[in-house]
Amino acid sequence: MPERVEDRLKAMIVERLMLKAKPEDIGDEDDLIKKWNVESVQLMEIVIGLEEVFGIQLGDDEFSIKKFRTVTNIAAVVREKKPDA
Amino acid sequence: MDQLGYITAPDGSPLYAAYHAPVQGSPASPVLICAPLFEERKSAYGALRKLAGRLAAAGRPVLRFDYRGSGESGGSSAARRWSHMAEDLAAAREALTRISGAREVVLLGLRLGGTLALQEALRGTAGQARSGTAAVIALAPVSVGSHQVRQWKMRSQIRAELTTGGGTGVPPVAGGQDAHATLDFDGYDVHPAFFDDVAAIDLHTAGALSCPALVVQISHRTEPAGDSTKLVAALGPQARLECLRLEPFWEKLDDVDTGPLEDIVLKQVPGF
Repeated sequence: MPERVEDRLKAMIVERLMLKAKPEDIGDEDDLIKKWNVESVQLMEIVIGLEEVFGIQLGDDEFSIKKFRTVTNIAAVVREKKPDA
Repeated sequence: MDQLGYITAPDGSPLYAAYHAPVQGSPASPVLICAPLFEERKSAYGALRKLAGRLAAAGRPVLRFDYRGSGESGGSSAARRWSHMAEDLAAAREALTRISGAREVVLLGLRLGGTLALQEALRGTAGQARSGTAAVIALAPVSVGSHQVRQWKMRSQIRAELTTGGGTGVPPVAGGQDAHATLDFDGYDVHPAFFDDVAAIDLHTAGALSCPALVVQISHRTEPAGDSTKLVAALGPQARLECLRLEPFWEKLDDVDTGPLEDIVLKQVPGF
């Protein structure tokens, strides 16, 4: 069974942000900033991760914090950009 | 013990400098530390100072300095261009060779400071300007400036959204604005053309070095990223890459243990 986009995202976030947590500890709806203390510059690292891991390039005007606040929201960006992900 | 003082930039601006005298007498090349800019400078200040102390304890004369319009130096950040930073580096290098009596220095830079150090060594290679670089240590250097400017732009947007809750307006970091206006970037007044200067940097095509160089990739990964591999290949056979899994301490408000980075530098520097 293919891995869910959400689970791939969690693994990517834990690895790239070097969070002291397991991917499965992160809830789909967790506020990454409030619950996981993700700093603003680290959101940028997630954007770069999307480019490297999923091959998704975001335009300069396509970023908003709302889209990157939860794994569910980031997954929506992935699916919008790459429907076969 | 740090010896603090000021040196003078070519435009007359006083540049803050801190000299770490070597604990043991040594003929080894002194080390000139080139800091990053903006918030990265603040976040990395403690780590670079600690590194300077360890290098001095290992017998190296070390000089840290602030570029004009940055830190404790005079001058205006709003007027600063990339070429001014190279001039400031040259003034600091001259001061360090004068104090230490050495002819060559090791340039050690972090982020854009690493970029500047590599460019300086490459200029020496091409015989266009100053020589006297014994070696370069570039810590997480920015190799493609346009990528950095894009990240600044995004970061600016994130900050604006977090502070206003909105997300409206054009991010302040972008090229092509009114040449007479200054831009507010993270609370720093910046000349609009400065971002164009940075965007024009591409070390992947800059040529090969004629002095030894160590590039340290600092990230979540232990294997080389494409960008690092390209950079080291472009810098030629004298360049070597080390990959260190460490949080980007120049982005963190919290303290990060940079001991492993210091160990890499201390292990490498006797060869320079």
